[in-house]
Amino acid sequence: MKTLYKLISVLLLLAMLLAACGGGTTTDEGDMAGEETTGEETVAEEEMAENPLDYLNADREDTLIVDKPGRLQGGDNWNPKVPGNAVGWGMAQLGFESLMILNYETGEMMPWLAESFEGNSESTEFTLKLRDGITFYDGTPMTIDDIIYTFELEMATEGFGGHFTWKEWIASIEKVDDLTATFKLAKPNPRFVLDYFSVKIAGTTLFLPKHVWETVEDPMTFKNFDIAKMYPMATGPYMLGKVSENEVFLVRNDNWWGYKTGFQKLPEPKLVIISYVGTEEVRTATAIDNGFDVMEDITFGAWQAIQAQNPKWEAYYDDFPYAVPDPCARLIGLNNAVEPWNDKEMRQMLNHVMDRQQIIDIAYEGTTTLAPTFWPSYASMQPYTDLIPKDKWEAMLTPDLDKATEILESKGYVKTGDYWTKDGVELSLEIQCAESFSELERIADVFAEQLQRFGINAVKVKLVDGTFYDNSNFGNYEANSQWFTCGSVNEPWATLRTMSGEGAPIGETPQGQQNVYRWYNERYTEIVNEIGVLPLGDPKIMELTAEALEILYDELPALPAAQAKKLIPNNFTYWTNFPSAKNPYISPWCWWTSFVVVVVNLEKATN
Amino acid sequence: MEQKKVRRWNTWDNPWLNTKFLIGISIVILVVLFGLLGRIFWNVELAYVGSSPLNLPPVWQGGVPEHPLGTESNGRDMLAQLIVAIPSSFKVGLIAASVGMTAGLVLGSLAGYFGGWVDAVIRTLADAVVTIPTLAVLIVIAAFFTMRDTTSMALILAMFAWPGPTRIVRSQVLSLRERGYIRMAVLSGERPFGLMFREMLPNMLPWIAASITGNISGAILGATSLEALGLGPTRVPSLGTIINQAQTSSALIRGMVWWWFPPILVLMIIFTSFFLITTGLDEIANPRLRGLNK
Repeated sequence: MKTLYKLISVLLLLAMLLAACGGGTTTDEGDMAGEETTGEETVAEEEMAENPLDYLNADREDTLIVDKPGRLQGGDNWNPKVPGNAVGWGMAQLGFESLMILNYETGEMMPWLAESFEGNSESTEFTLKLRDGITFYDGTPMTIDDIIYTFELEMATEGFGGHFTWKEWIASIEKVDDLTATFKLAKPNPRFVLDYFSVKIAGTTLFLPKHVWETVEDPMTFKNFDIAKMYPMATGPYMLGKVSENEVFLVRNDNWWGYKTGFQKLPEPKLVIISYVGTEEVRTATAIDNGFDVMEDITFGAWQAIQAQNPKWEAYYDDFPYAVPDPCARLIGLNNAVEPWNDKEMRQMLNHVMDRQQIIDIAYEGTTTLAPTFWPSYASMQPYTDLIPKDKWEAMLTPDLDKATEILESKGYVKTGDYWTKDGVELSLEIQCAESFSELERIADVFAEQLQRFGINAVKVKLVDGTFYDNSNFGNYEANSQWFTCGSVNEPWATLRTMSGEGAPIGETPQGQQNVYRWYNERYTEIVNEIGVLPLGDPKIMELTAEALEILYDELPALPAAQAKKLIPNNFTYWTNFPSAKNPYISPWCWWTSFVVVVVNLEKATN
Repeated sequence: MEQKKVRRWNTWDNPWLNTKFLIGISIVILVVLFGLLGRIFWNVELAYVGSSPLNLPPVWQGGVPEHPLGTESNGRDMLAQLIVAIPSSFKVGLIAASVGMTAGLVLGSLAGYFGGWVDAVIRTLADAVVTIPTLAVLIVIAAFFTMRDTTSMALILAMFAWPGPTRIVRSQVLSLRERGYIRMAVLSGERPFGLMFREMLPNMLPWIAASITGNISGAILGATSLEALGLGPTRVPSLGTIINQAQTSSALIRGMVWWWFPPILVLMIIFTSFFLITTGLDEIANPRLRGLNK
């Protein structure tokens, strides 16, 4: 008997040793968000479904429900390269993956699909090395051929989103081996990786499976929507399971390469639902009723209601201001190609009427700060913000109706009745806004009222999102409430670039979809191009930026309105470990491609 | 044989002293006066964005006397909003119903009097438009056109307000043209225009009065629906716009009853009063309904 006990003890000891040695292999890319673990440690095989679509019936406690404030449009179009697609409904976050992810919280550039992506000292040549073991949903390995194919297809297809960008920057791509390629740029670009491959703000470059797309006859009309074939084919931890009128269901991909290779753990939610329920009132009620786990953005008032009625909801900050500073400043964009706004003095006149403090007090209920910049008022941008001409800066802090009157009178306008008129024609301004952005709508409401009081017949017009973006791109607007100078977070070029470029007539999209304001200033564009090729931190950037800002704040192609904040609460009823000020492992934006990091790190509340 | 004496104009037999009509018209007059006279006693500039402190409750819930009905989250005073909104909603109703009724009178008279292909065309058009789901089409139109003011909204509503009156006027004219006095007028050489609008129209006036009140009420309902969906003019407050703004700002869930309830209450009062007026006018025009045949 004693021999038997000894034998059992030895066997147990051996089993434990084997488990300890063979239970997991860690890789050397150690600085990722969340600890790298083997899937076997976190998810038992019996919890996996034979068919991912079985997860469509997952229980509520296995489901993550993400709020979407706008209606689903183009629900049958999952081609990520054409306008009007639906990939923003979960696939861009959890299906397609980025080469790198910039972690705002740590400042770290996290390699994701890429193992490394580095440039030479002149920023003219970048070498990309993919991770080994990446596979698409159907098990086909993702290699450098897929990456090269994506660029080639995009450069060959004029209607694709990145067409002009890649034509501008990429001179050639050379394959080194199955996982490595070298990009030779047409001109130096120190921000090549940061701007296009690292989820700097919201989006990133999404890569296409060559074995699927090379069989496609017309890439522009290809909808990429066939759930039976696992389209849209991508590599991420979730795949498209079902699309209904206002909801998208993403089911867990148990064969995710990230889990199989031990790069990340398998995310715990078996089903992710991206859901539009209606107005903020309905969204708020749904949240109180635990119908969401994550909300995209809500007003301060709605947050007060949720907080009062469901204590399981938490904002990023426990206390005022609750909201996270958004990287995209809010503006009133002006169409510089239409009269009378093609006259810079008329734009300056609008600027003198704008009372920014009132916009903050009303539209944001005081939850943001006064800083009339085209970029976010992050500390990293302060040295560049300080370059704004002092007189111009001061003039933007308070409205000056006398100066506005002076300009209008000098242009021949007279105040007859309530409004300024010229040759019997009333001065008016239509401010367009997208229906899903109540924040921008409120800015438009306040500014329109300021203009009305001054004597300009301004109205806000709310449009469905698709129409709003089309109008902006094609120049079918007078003014709009928007954020299209978004780009800079730690250097000035990305934002300055959004207002540079060549002219495009109304009815055509400006090259690279930049400068939707149709304001074309030769010297400004020259400066921006010059900054673009300077290495980050070059002292000449300051000098050039100062000159660019001098032009910009004199011409005012758009009017900076407010710094934006996003109130993104999370529900801790079913899931925990959401990012917050107390636990800042990644930015909380649920509509960004970096959201995959959040989902991978979520833990069941019942755990 | 002694003839029974009929007292037609006894104080209580006067048809215009119909209780329903009087209550209805009194309420409408009061509501209109509130909107019109309110401008004299209250600063209506407070009805616009940023004119007042945000989110103040009404005075009986701890608010301030400067804003007795409270304020909402865009800094608008609720009392001033109601003062501006009530005439605005009435204006939409009046314009839409008047345009619709005028078109209905002209088209219905033409169809009923001339008959033949004129009748066939007008009747077919009216029947076709009646089957269109009005609200859905209005939503599409309102989304396409910029609603700068309430007049444009009223005109859009009027596009769908004519088929009802057209069909009923047509049936009235079909009946009237067979009457003896019309035949006499024809023999006297009265022209078709004179027949329709001098001879027949006065006989339809009680019905027109009853019908137009129903149409005003319908137009106000249509406009309020569009506004509540966020498709109305946004700057000038109207009852539907206030409801829309309350809804999109989560007023219900924030417990801001003073934001969403007053416009709903006013609408209930308006619709009830118009219903009473319509019923009362029906009784005035039709002696059987007020029991004179008993």
